Amino acid sequence: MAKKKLYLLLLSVVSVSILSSCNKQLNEPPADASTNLTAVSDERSAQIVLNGVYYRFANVNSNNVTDWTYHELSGGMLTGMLGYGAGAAVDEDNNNVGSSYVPPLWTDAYQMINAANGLISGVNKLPATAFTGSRKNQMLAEAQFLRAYADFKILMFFSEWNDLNSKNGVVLRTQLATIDNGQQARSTVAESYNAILSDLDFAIKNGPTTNPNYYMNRWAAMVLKMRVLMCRAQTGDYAQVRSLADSVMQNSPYTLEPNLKDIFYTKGLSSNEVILGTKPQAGQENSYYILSRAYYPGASAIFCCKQAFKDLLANDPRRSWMVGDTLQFNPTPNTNYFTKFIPNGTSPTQVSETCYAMRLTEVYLLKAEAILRSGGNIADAKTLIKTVMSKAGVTDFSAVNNANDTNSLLLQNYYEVLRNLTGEDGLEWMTLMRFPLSTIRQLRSTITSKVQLYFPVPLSELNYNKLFGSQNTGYSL
Amino acid sequence: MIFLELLCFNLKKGSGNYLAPIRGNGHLKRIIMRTNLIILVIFAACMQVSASSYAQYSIKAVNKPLTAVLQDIEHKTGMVFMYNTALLANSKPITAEIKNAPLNDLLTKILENEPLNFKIIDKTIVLSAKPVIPPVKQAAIEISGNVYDETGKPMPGVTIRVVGTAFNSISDNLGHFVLHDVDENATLEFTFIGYAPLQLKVKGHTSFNVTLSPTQRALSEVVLVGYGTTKRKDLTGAVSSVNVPSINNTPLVTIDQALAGKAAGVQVTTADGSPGGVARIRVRGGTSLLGGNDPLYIIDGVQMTVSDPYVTAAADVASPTEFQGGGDRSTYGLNTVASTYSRGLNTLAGLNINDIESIDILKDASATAIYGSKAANGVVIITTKKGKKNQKPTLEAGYYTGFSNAITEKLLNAAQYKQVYLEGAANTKDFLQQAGLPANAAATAILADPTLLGTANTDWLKLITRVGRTQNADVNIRGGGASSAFYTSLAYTQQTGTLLGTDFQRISGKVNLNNEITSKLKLNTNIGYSFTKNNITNGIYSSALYMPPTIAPYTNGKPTVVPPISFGNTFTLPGGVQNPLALLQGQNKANTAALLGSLNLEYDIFKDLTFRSIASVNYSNYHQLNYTPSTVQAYYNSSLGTTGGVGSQGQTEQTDAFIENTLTYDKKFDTNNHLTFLVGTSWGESNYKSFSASGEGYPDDYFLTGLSSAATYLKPTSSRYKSGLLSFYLRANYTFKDKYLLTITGRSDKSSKFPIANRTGYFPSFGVGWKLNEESFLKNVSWIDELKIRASAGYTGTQNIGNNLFYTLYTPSSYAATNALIPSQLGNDRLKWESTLQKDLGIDFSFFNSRLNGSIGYYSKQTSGILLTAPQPTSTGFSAALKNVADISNKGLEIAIGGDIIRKQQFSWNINLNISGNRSKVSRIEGTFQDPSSVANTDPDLQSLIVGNTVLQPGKPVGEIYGYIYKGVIKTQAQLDQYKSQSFYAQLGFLPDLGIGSPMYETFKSGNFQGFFKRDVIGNAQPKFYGGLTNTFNYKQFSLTALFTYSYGGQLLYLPSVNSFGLGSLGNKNTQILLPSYSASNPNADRPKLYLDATNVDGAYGATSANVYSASYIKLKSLSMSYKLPDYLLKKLGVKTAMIYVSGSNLFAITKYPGPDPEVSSDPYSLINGYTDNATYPTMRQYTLGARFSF
Repeated sequence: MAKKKLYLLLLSVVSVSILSSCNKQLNEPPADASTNLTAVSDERSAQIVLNGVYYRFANVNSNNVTDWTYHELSGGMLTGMLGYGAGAAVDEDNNNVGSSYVPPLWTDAYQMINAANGLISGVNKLPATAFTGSRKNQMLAEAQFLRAYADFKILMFFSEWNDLNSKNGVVLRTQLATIDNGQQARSTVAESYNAILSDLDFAIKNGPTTNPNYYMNRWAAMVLKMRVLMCRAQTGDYAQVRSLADSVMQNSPYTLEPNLKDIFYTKGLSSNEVILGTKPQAGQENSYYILSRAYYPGASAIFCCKQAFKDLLANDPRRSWMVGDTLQFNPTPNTNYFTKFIPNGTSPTQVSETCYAMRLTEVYLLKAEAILRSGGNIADAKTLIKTVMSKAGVTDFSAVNNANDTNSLLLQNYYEVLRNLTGEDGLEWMTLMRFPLSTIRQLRSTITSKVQLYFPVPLSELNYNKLFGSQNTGYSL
Repeated sequence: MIFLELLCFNLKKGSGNYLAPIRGNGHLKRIIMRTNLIILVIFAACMQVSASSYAQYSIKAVNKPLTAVLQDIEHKTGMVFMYNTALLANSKPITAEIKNAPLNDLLTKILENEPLNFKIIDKTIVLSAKPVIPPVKQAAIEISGNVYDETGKPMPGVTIRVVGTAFNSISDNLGHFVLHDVDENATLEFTFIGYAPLQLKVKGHTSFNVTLSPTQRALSEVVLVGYGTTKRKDLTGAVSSVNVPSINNTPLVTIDQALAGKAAGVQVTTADGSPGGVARIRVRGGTSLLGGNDPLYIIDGVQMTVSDPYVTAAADVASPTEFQGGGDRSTYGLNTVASTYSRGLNTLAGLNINDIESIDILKDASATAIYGSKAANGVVIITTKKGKKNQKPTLEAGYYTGFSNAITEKLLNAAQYKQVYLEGAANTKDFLQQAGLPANAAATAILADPTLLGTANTDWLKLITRVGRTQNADVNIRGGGASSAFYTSLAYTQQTGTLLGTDFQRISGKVNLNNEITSKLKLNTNIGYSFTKNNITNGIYSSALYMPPTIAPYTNGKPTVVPPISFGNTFTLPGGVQNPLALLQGQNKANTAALLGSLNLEYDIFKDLTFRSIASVNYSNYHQLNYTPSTVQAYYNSSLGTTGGVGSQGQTEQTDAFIENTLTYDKKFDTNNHLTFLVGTSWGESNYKSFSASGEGYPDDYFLTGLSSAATYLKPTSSRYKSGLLSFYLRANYTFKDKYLLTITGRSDKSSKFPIANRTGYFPSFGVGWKLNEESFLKNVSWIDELKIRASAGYTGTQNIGNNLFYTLYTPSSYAATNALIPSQLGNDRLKWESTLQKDLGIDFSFFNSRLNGSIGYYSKQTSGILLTAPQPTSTGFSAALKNVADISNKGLEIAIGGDIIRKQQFSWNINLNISGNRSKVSRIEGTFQDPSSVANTDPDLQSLIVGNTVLQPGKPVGEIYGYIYKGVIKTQAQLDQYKSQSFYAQLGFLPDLGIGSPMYETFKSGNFQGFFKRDVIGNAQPKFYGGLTNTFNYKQFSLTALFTYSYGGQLLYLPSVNSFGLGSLGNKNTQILLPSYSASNPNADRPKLYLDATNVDGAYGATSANVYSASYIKLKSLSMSYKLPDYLLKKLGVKTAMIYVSGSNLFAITKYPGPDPEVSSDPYSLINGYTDNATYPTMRQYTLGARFSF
């Protein structure tokens, strides 16, 4: 009997120890998957997660190609410069309810914000000593810059950005998404601007000074801050834009590309003018569903430039290479291949697949606009615009020279934005929107109401985020 | 002398009776009486008186009492009779006339028919009882022995009778019995309720060890419950046992298919005709939307979960049928090979039916809750054959061969095809002319030159089908010594499918060793292994359905390139149609190696306490090869060109290991109280590893199709998962007075699939039973053998879902040639178990000596917190997350009745009928989902809860078919005008050919999408009732088993009928197109006119209510006839048993369904989807011929 009791005791001891090890195994994180708890564990893993935020910035899609369709097309379509080749898109008529080229920006931006928040919370859990030098703050700066970039997209497209008193701003997310924090109210427009600027100030202060130009640095943060301030347009904002521009123009390593065409046709990211861009994935140019193939020859989709763009470039040397042949198949009337990024009759390349978020040209033109809007020296503004134009091979500056009041020069500035920056990152649309509604109406007859300067919040948000708040003014969806 | 004999006789009788434990009072009286008689005789014998024997007397009596006659004789002779008056109790009145006879003769004559002897002693005549003539005296021996049940346990209470005598005995608590003075040539009969009576010839043996076998379907049979066995009569739960012999000798290769029609509450639908393919099994309805809905299988104690092993491949070919039928548009491109593959592969395919000993299906919570989180869909416990102790080795071998024919679609032949298109062309031309519209190029061309439609006469189905051939050989050896027993088997199955290029092969076997190391320690090992090979169609059948019969299969010796004919961009073959003969060059192969092994230790710690430990492993290694040749268009989600073929190889390795320990305490305290208590713990670990690599651009399509030949490599995929489950469980069975039964079970499961806060799930249940037949008021009703009422309630769960679903996950990728990690899944740390509360009420009965038995059960199953991806605010960076959002209820009634209609020695007829109805309803779907009509109001294509052609909506049944609503043919101008004013498409000018004879579809009457075609519920797949009927006839050596299965009230979406609803493309149609269609001469037809345009389906691109048909059927699922060779032949052949049989399956069906077979499922795993006949692999009719021997 005693022996049996011993067996039982032994059995119990063995069982208990097996069970406790089982328990431990149950609580182990997944073996072949990375979770929010394990993704960031040291500097190297933090770098990989940070690269994931850039992956979202470049919008690598399921075909493993960087897809900036919505960045490039939204501004061009809304300003009437670009269009769809096989039957016009409603976006080209500024029909914001039916838009197909703007709503995807919402999802893309928030995926980027969530990735950035994941990195920020992961890095913040680690001590500064876990990183070499000031790398911890640099990474935080990069992530905050990217978050600011995405928040600004949401602000400019899906919020009442031009009314600082509006409560309809951005859902400012600062934590990695969970099932609970998904329910969150939108912030006011003023709060949204402040949050974005605060992220950017951190990025300017702590960001790396040098970095490959498909990653951010302090200069990129300054350029983004210029964009934000230009749109907020409060007291002192224009002055800040000017001083930031000076800082970039004088202190940064960037120079204007002597021949604009070289950026898009030969140099891509290696151009010294490019402050921030996206780097195509290896072999991406061979893929079928890529953006430059949709410009020429027109593959799964066909994007073209419209008559307005052709007209704008009527006497401009850029017309010869930015505007291609008339569309061959099922054309929308008065459209041509948009050959800014891919030469007529050629196959896609890594360079043609490169997308441009920030170029030094933008800094020149923003500074010019800031000077004009803050009552600065018109001649300075003209010089800036003409400098940019000269790099595009323009020799006839009469239109700029003849514009002798702020408003007409602002128009000339806008035209140069259109000629130079159309189809890049929606800059042409932002520039247009900064005009008074009356001017906008003249420039774009399809815009009749202030409501058309922002878009309705997607239903996917309103339906499932019960705390969101109200839909943007003027939309009943 | 006489008295000595009498004495002996009486003692013998007495001793014989003494053995009988049950003695009545009457018996006792007889013994006392006999004793009195003996004393009397002794006394009489001692008196030594004598009487004269020589005088002569006459006597006459007519019906005179014996006493009166005796008095008369006394009077006439002066003799005195001496007797015990009791002796005369049985005397009869006497009628006799005797003249002048001596006293001796007179007495002899008078007492001739009386039970009396006489003896004349002097003046006294002594009457005594006539001795009963004792049987011919032979050697008598004492016999003893033990009786065991089929599990080897001692059986108390068995009646052992010596045939032809009243001698009997009953076995004691240890199963022991003794019989004295048994004739050495006598026959013993062992009987026990629920067990087959057994007769044994004594033949001089004095010791017998007897094992009784339970009879089928009786309430007393032993059934397997989780972690143990119990008698059916002691069950409080609902358990169906499948009669295993009835599924042997049928052509069904896999066990899941063989379960069809066999058990109430178990719905089995063969998915399609692929060799070795899977069946959809639902035990009392499904409970999970995300996970599988198959029951949990326990094979010799090893758990097995059914899953779809298909590894997504880059090379896939689209299905034209599914393309036309709408379906899930986001994945339609992956629907052919992927879905055919899923149906062709079968987790259970490795199991050889001939190895199976028993199948028990646990249905209610009282029975299943012991399996907790895996049991919500029922549990099927399968045991395989084992060797028996003290049995000399037996070799059994069987072989069968079979043939199968495809049950295919009926398609137009070349003449019909041309006729239909010519009529369509004429209608088109006429209409356009009358409407003043430009002529249709295709119509003009066809009418001008009908040969443009092609001139060949090709039967595409004939080209790609063949007579399938099945061969199966199996051999097993079993036997055992005093303390070990073994069983080992090996089987080989080879089946060629009815479609070219499809086949199934299996090698499977098992080794089972049972060892009794000491009287207290037993060790059992069990290893089952299988190698299966599947070769699966590359979509040849779907394409053959569409290839015009007017096209020659080959051009210049090579498969004709498709499309061979077209009239411009719009009028050509439907998307995805390819020359089947080109597709035939593709490869889709799967190899699976699987091992089920267990080591089982049993130790009796104390008399009533047993410890059992089982370690088991379920291992499978799956390899998949897909190759799409360069001549074929592949559909895949990447952006690659189609030059030079696309090939993929995938590999999956899955290991599920379990360690389970139980302690069983089984104590019968006294005759009234019996307690069985079981506690156990289990640790299960599952490891899954998978990878897939693909390449494209191969130098040729025949030899160099290995991955290394590819010019370009596509991104490989790999995954690795691990999950663990730690469980504790207990069960207590308490029986009071053998009348009142109580079962309580409980299980806690801790699973790595759920977040820490909700990791542990608790699954309690209880069951009560009341054996009415044991109550005094029914005890004497002789025709009731068993009558039991039982009720149970309890919780079970499901966890047949993916791993790591609750985590916020990062997925590796790369950007700028550097590693990147991206958040890819929104975690939900509040994820909970799906939990099913099941209530059950049932009656089990057995009447007329088990000639009629059955059970009736009602159940209600309420599953709550069903997991589904629910939409999330997109500002989270995700569009959806897994949540517990839905509730589903299943309610049903099931009846099983069986009986022996005829039970004769030579002939018997047994019927088993089951009928079940299940009502499955979505009781809740979280508010984020809306009813389909309002969803469509915001976006007609929104598919948040619409999967393919089905929809789930709260308050409505599961299995609703979703699609456009056909409103009939436009027959008047007024109808046409009204329809045009309603249809947005018509107003936009998308339907220029709309006219009299065109079809009408329902449109939205209001809302944002007013005028759009409306999709709504167009049918329901849930049958009102279903079941099976098995008839078994035995006549002498012949046995015939016929199984009918039936289903009534369900509907099926018949996808091929979408194509035959009009002439929108040049694809061939099934013969439905020949049904009366609208024309001026046939204005009453309700099918649209034949017209060469997509108008017939326009707007309703996809399934419509016109494509939904009743899927009610009754079919002869299998018929099997066998002949057992008689003994004299066996002796001649030197074999122990031998049987030959012929059988057939799917022999005929009575149905109104227009397709070839109403019993199909497009997705056997899912509860949402799968109610579609997408005609990718025809079902088959099979005939086999086989023989089975044992030596």
